[in-house]
Amino acid sequence: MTRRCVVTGIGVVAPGGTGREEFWSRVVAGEPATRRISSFDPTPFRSRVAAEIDFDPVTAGLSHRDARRFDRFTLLALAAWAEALADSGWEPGAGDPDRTGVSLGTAVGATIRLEQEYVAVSDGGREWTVDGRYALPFLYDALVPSSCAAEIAARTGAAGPVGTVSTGCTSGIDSIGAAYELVVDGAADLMVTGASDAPISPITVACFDAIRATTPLNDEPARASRPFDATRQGFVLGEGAAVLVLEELSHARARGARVYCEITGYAARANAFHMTGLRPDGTEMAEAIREVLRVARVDAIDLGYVNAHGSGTRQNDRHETAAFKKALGSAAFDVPISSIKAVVGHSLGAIGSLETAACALAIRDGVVPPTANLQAPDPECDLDYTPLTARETRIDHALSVGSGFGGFQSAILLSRFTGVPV
Amino acid sequence: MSAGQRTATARRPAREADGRVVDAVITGIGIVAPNGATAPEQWAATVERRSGLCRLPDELAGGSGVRVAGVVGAGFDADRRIPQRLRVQTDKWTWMALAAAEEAVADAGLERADLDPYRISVLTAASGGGNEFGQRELQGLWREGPRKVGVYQSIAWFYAACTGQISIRHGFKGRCGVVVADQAGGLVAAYDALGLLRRGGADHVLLGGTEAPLTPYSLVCHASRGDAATGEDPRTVYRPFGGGTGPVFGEGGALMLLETADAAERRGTARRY
Repeated sequence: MTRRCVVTGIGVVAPGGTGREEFWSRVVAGEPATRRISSFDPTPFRSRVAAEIDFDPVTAGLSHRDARRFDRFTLLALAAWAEALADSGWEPGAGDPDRTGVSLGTAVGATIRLEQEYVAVSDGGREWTVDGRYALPFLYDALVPSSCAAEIAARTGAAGPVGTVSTGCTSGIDSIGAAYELVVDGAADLMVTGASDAPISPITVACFDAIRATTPLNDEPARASRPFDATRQGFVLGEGAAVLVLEELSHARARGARVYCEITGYAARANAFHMTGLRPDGTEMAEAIREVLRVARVDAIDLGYVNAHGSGTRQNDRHETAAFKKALGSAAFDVPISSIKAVVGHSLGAIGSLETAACALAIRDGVVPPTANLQAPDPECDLDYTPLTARETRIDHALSVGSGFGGFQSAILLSRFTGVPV
Repeated sequence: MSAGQRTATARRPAREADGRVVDAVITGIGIVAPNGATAPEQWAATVERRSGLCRLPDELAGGSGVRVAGVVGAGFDADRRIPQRLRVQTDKWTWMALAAAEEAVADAGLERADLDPYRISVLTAASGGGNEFGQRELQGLWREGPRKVGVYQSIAWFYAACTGQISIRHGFKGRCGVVVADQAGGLVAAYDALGLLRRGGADHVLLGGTEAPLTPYSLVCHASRGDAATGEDPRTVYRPFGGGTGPVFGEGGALMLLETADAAERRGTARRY
């Protein structure tokens, strides 16, 4: 019998609200959480806005030792993990540890801590030969991205497959996709999965400044991210974490778990074109979308919502519009599409997991979240990008897509859980 | 068709219809290592017990306390093996991955013109990223300001740089992946590649990984674990299973072409490692 993979828990730490429901109500209201960067002085930078989280690890239930030991991206992930596990009703250490796994994504890992410690050991960049006596004692463990998944595995009591995915800006979709495949393939019965990134640091802001990928629209921070709008000028950096609990259906049923939705497909392709450039015809993203629909045996016409990558760069928005038309045919013009990045920014690898969480909540509530700040649609982006206002509608299938540096194109499909045996 | 109407899975089974597990074979290998800049050189040196360990120059060792390492030195001619355009936008970590990938692809005789590019995947492991490139850009930023950070920092430093560059250089458009699993990364990549082939997600996977941790800041991070070997004699400092000296860090890596036995058969390649 085919194994099915359902979502039974969701935890989110996002700009503008630290929990799942705060995140979701903000996204549905279309209230941008973007603002002038406050964690350091952004004055010397081209792009000075970001979607920051007012996050205090101790208030969020973590220990002082955690706060000292881990980078912010791990702390965000641990807070999202705690909410997801509580939401699913799964007790840490329950079940068979060998059948429980973790799949976590991150694009840039411990960038903030890496930069802070670099500044200390190099004396503010004065020395090339650095002095390790000024570094944290457990520096390596704080910086290597896999320590986040290892910590979550330890706290969950997971001794099954544990992995970290780092495919840049598609990491959040790819990590959940990997977890889904482990469940349906039979390698695990319960997977804790998602992604986290906390990239708002001088080096990250400077590196996107250098290629003019982030927006210079600094004067109205709340209107800085404008996906699919003719006046958009780049993406707005964000931070965040989302963690989902995935279970094999009979495992979830046996313990009476509440089911948000089912994951019915995942696919990824590469454009083999350019590290940052996208071919305007969207061929490879279209290929990923076709593949995910094929895997799930869902017709384009049955899609109720498409969560776009919608980063708010001209290149992305047009590439994506072309991909939707190519993959979905005439259905591309009928299905409501939106980007939540105007509200929560672009948190690199994490955003794919936030967007997957948003799709699960969209199915739960029958609500398509809007594309905030979409006031003057780009005529080249002529699909229904759900400007400004959310819409109530039943959603049977929600598609989420992502696109990242390296040429990666990923797609994941979530479906209303019907309970009908296959 | 709605989810409830699904009657059969579209996923290919892990086993063929006759119950046979899908066989996967290694048909190409590329290596860049301290004791050999190609697979044949490295293997010959290993069989002959020629070590690649040497004294680290002080400007690299820095304050890390590390004195000996496996250095990929002059035997690896990056100028010849990596086009200049690619060299300037990538770290040594990626140069070695590109060189090993090219060797593995050539070794396997993988002619992509005959193959569906969507069935060829790239899957690499990384836990350090572009260390030297990143440290240089960090230094520029903190010493001279944001304008010193160049246009390639955003693509040279992050963990996915090697997979992306290999995919672009060879035109491989299948599902690509990057795993971070510290010192187990290479094995995890192999495990994931096998899973991808068995589930029908690809016919060919170029898998493996490289690391280039021999830069001052990176070595300080590694040395923070406190168990690194601190001896100064390259001939005696590393004795696995022989006295608990602790690890000696090295750079380099390998890429391999793993494909289903059927796919290897179809394209008529003879070699199976």
